[in-house]
Amino acid sequence: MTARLALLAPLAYLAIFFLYPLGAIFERAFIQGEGGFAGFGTILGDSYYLGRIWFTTWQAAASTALTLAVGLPMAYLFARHDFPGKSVLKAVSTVPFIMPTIVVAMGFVALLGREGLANTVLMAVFGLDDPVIRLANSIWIILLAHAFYNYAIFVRIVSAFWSNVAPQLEESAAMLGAGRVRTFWHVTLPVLLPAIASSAALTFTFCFTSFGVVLVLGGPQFATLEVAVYELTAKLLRLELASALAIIQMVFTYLFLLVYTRLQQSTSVQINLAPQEATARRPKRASDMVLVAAMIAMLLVVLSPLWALVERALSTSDGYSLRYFGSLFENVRGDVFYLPLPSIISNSLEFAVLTTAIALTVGAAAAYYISRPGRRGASIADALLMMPLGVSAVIMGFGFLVAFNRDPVDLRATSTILVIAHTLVAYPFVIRSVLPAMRGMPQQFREAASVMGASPVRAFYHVELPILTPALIVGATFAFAVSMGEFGASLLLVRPESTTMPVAIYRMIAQPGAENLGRALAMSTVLMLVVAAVFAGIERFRYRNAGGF
Amino acid sequence: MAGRLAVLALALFSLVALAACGEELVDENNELVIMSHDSFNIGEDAIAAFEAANDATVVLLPAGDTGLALNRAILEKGNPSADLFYGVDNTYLGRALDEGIFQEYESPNLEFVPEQFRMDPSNRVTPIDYGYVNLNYDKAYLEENGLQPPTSLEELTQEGWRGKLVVENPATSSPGLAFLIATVSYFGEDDDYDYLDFWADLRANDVAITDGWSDAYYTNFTKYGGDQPLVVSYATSPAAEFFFSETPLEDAPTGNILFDRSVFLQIEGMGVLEGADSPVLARKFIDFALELQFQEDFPDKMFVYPVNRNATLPDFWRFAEEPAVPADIGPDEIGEKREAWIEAWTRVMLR
Amino acid sequence: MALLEVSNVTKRFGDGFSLKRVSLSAERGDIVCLLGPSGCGKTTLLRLIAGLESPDDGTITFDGRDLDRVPSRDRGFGLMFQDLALFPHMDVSGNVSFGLRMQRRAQEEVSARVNTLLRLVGLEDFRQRKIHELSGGERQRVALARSLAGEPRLLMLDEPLGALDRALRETLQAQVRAILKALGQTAIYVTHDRDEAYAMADTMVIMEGGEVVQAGTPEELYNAPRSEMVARSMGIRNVLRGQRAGEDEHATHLLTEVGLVAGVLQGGDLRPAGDALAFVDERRIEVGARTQASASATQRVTLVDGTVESRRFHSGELEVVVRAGTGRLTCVTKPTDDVPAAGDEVTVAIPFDAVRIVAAEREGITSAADALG
Repeated sequence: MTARLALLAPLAYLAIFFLYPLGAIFERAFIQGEGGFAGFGTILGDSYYLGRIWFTTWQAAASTALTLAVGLPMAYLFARHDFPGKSVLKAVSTVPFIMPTIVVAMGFVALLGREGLANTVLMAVFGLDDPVIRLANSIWIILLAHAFYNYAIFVRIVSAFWSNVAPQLEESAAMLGAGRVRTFWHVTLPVLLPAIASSAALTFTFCFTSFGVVLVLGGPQFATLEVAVYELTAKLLRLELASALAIIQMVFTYLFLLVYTRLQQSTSVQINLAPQEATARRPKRASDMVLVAAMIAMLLVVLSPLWALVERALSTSDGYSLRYFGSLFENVRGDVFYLPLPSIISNSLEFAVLTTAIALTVGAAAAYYISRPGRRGASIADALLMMPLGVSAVIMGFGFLVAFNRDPVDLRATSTILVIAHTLVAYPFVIRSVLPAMRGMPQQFREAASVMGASPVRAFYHVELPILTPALIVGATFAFAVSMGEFGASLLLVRPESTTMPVAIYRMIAQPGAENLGRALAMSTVLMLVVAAVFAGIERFRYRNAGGF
Repeated sequence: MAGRLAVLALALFSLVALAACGEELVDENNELVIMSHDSFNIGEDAIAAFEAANDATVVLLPAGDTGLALNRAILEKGNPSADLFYGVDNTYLGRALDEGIFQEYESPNLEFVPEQFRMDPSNRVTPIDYGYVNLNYDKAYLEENGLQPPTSLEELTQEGWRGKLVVENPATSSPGLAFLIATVSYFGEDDDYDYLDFWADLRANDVAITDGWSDAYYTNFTKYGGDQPLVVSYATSPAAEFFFSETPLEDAPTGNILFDRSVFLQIEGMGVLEGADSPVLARKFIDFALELQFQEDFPDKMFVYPVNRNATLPDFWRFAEEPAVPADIGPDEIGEKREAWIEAWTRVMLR
Repeated sequence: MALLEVSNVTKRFGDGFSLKRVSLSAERGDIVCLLGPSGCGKTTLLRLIAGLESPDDGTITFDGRDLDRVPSRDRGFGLMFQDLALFPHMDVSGNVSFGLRMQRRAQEEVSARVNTLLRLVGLEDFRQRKIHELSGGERQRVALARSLAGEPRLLMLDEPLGALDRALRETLQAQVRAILKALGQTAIYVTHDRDEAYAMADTMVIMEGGEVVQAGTPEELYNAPRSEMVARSMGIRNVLRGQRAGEDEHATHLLTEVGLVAGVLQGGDLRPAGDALAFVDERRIEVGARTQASASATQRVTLVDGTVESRRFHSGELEVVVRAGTGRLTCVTKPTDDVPAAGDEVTVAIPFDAVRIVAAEREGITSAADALG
């Protein structure tokens, strides 16, 4: 009964802040509009849109595979090895997740563009006249960018799970004569499967609804469904088509998620838990050191677009200087929209902290329900709760405006609406981060506590919470990151005095001129630093007495 | 069990969250809310002057790019978040007027505005500023490669300019749409060689296409490390480059290409929204926006021209040249054919 | 009335029964062993007593009080889980003191009690150790200390030594029983291992298929098993099934698969030609070279002809399996030179008083009993 109560809160949240606004915008599109539901026929009969569905699906699948390939070795690195600078590197590794797409695009250009570092080096080394790497506006840059954005999902979720799996499991397999590869394939992988599947589902959904990456890096020839919905809504105001397409996108997302949640239920295993410090070791053998060094190098390469940005933010005509950073503190031209850097940072942090708090509560409650064995409809509820990730952001934004536009809940020009919007995207990350840990936790822990006289609340507080802490930290990290990096909804909904860092960056590069670009890059660097600092802080947070949990 | 705790915590968190940022917007009396696209910018002194003169509070509400902001206003028709809308241009005017979201208001200050900028005969939308969408070129690149700026649009389809132009997708970008309309004006719709033939040739000549101005300018334009020395931008961009250069320059680093009928004149206006809470203040603001203080304030912030013929422009504005003969297509025709052009363009260029 | 009374408790899971009208009782200070194959409902019964599940039917009373509405945490019981469920995020003393802290005992008391318990289980130097640093046996002892810490009115142990190797298990069995007896602890001990049950139990409860088959002291059960299953559970290797063929003043005669066997009828009536079971003590059977001599009534021995099927050493003794008729007889003897080898034709001598005969209660449980091994 209590578990059912736990589901009530997330479902209520979903109903009020997701289904109701969606219903409102769909009502506007299909009932008040003239065309009724004819939009579905139009779209399903149009080879262009059918092509979009196909493209969206396969690029998401390919992106997920690439992301997995990049993310898994990193997850291994962080889960099983201890090395100097690990916590800093771990914090930095999640930074790409929050970077505005346009800034990342500039990073890719600086690195892989015609005059970018990679081409310059290759041309010099091989004495070539033409650039070797020509990724601009190709499918490869989309896949690369998706991997760049989302590998942190794998790193975080899988490594948190992995690092609490007692290594005896792998060691015993090794004792039985399995080689490293076979041990990984037959023992490690099956144990990690819930966490890997969680990460893959998130990544797939993210790539399936990808907007900025496809729009900015891929260019117009690579429209996903999300991009098509945006064009229909923002430019053409064909709500009936946009809504039909958005619903089709949701149906696809829901079906994918349903398959996944069903699969996940059957793959979950209870694991032998051990604290993190017991599972990670310093590399001692030479082969281990080479492995660790290689993976750290790989991580630095993955992060290289970020270094390129920082480098550009620091370069001025006088060589390297902090001039652009300084200019963030003064309103040189008396703009009415100007906010000093500290205010912008504190706006971003405020939204992110509120978002994190609500997302943790909603997400953990939902995961608690879903994780109880034998829940009827758990996988359906699970997939449903993930849906906010699958819905078109612009449709959602308009839904909010149509739904919450009358007193006493006229949320349109408040900051609340932004926190709610951020939370909708953030809490699915909490569910996915926490669920494998909740499923992996032996039920006996709670029962043991109960037999020893602990009330459910105290059992949760003293036993389950500390063990779930690493997973909750991961969930919190992503909730925080989602809010810090979000700018689509923010641009539509934020009040000028509440401007966040990504919105400020977007505004700066909406105008031509080297100074605007320099300030935008400086602000991006600040964004990276702030986020990395918070991540590092979260990383150091340990539940008291909980050791590695 | 633990769920009960979670529910309680959720309720508490939500209350805290709502209390922390639940400021109410609507003040029936002396608050003026202006919704705009997110490129809107103005000096804080100008706004303060208006607030002081009218004992009012001005709240600015940027709401996404031009299309998104206008569509939001249309969705909110009759129950708007704002009193005044700024940022409807002549590419979207038809839709705005068809939807009937604006009230009529004839500002006395319209006398300072030349006839050519009047957007709507019944004054539901009052022109505030204008600008030109045209091709910019990277001076340094052209010089290094021994190129002269093109003198006709046809020239862009020739081998010498292969892969050297980046344009924005008219389905997602305002300047992209403006340039498309300019090509319609330049080539016509049913001549032997019409605008679609031109675009097909451009495609064959490896034109680059982006979805937005920012990525065209900052990732494709050679000035910022990209591959294309020609970009669809604004006639004021070279002036902005000069103004925002990090070191004092002698000359703007980019130049305008302004041959006849290849340039789109974009006029932006303001209107009082139907259902506004403070219509009187909104009208006063329109008057104020046409006065010199406002008109002379925004050129170096939004890089658009003031419509008031008496406004003086800053010195660096000399790099913001105006074309002799802009494209000639009226808002009615644009309103009627915009979607058809975009669709035809998309078919030729992307499918 | 006994301290713990479980009466007619029924529990269903999904479509099938987990427990069917189960009754048992435990006296204060008793160690009750639940013995039965996996899936027979032992763990479910423990969970019901612990309050982790509630019965569909029947009552559980403790000290005269119905536990139906008493939540697990208020029962004052201890439970040692099969997989121990030690909290991995706490050290040894954190685990042991958990229950005391939940009872909000004073700090000094908690500390003193943790010391006492750790001394009891021989881990006094392990207070600050992390769980993952302990060996299997150490973990077992921590779990035992933890389950004893709150001075439970009833301690339940669910296959507590299951995961350990044989040598360690035997050492710990003795230690656990010594500790429990020293404390006068009432306990229910679940196991599927007969030897462990013998080592631990004051009372044994044999379960199968969700039902209690028979309960009593180990001696009672060994001497008078009421079914083949119980007999096999108790480690009786020669269980013969047969029909009553007649009786005289010395013995009851059964016609079994190895032939006519005489033995002592244990209580109750056995109707003429009624089904019966005969349990033959393997240590009192003698195997010798085939003789033609027929046993006289005064010798009170049944002679059965057969062939030696196998012979093997087991725990310092010889175990000889003889095939006779359509059945087998197992005989355990001192390893001497004259023990026949496989293939030898032999005669088996079975004293009347080495054979206990009971009326057969049920059919068709042989396979489950075999599985018990």
